[in-house]
Amino acid sequence: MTLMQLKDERAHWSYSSLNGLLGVCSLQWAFERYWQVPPSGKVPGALTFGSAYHRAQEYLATARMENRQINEKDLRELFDTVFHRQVEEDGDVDFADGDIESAASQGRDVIACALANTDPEERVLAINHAFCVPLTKADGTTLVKPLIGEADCIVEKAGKRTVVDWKTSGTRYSDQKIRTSLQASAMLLGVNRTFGAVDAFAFDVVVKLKKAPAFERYVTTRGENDFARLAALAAAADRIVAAEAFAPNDTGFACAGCRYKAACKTWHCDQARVVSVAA
Amino acid sequence: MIKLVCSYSRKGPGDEEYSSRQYHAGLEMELPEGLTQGQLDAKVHETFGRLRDVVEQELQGKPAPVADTVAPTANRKETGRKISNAQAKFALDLARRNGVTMAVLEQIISTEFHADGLYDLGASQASALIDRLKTEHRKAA
Repeated sequence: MTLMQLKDERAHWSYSSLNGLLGVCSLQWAFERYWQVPPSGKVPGALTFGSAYHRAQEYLATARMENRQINEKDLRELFDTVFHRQVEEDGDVDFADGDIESAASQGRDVIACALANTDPEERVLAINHAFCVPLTKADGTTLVKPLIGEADCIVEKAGKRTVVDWKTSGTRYSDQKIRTSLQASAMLLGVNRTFGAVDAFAFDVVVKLKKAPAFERYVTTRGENDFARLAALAAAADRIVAAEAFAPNDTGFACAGCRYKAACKTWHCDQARVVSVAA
Repeated sequence: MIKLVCSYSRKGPGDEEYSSRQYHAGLEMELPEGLTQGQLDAKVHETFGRLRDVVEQELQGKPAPVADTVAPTANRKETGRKISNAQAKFALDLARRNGVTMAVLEQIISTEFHADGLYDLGASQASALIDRLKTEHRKAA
């Protein structure tokens, strides 16, 4: 089953939903997912860029899985095609750091960097592996809503299996980010329960540096204790939603590109109005 | 969780004068959440009809077919409505109380229900799994 089919089938938690509510801004989460207020303003360019990069990585991983050779020129062209298609699909995109063509040029360099850092000894086992698994707390009780997600890629090298998530970033990742990443817990829980035992999770990150992009692989592991913590966080998220205890994170990094700025500005004056907009 | 409790009874003359014989069948089952009024009515109608048929067959001295209950539902790969979140939680909690590990539960789901995982089960397969776990629980008790 695909991720979309799983999502449509039942109420659930996903990593992005949990992270949005607990890590980014609960009010932004509520506007988008709870009250379903239509977003305003332009689509952040980073989203469009990320989608195109993901599509190009899927193509590369499929070629690797099928033992097909792929050259840099073709991959650059492919990125160009999917990126411009994505811009068209998204409509009004805001490339804060420049125009569409400079973003496309950066994307071509980024995917070429990913290709150059592909490990030929690594075998691709699966791409876009979707899962739906129960969330079980430390006391053994299960939450009503399961966890739904999709792992970008599962690879194997020397008998060791790793779940890989493809990322691009403006900066290198900190140790703390890797150690505490909720995404690593969510992906390892889902893949372990539905695909079979995997040893580790890795962020394959192409860092968009000024001179030239650089590739970094950040590897981490998770265990049952981390999965129970994830379930406890989801239970806490359930309580927040049930109480409608949403609040803005005014000092958060997400304010800059937030598409609910207008609704957020007046949230404290008239919360009833927000509800009526959504109704 | 919606619980449907359905019963049918029929009283007829007994073998001796001034005596009677009564047949009664009851069925209790869980229904998934989110059913429409029409689906709910249809389920009640279908369940009641099934009970009535069984009782009538008993009255006529024909035992109801045994195999047409849990096993075919369990073995058939369902394509319609899937297990509800409430059913899944109930099955998982029952399994835990019975000391059935996740690995064993997945094995049961795979071998007996031919599904890839708990959330791939159909709604009626889920009911059959819950019944199976309940039976094990009673045996253990």
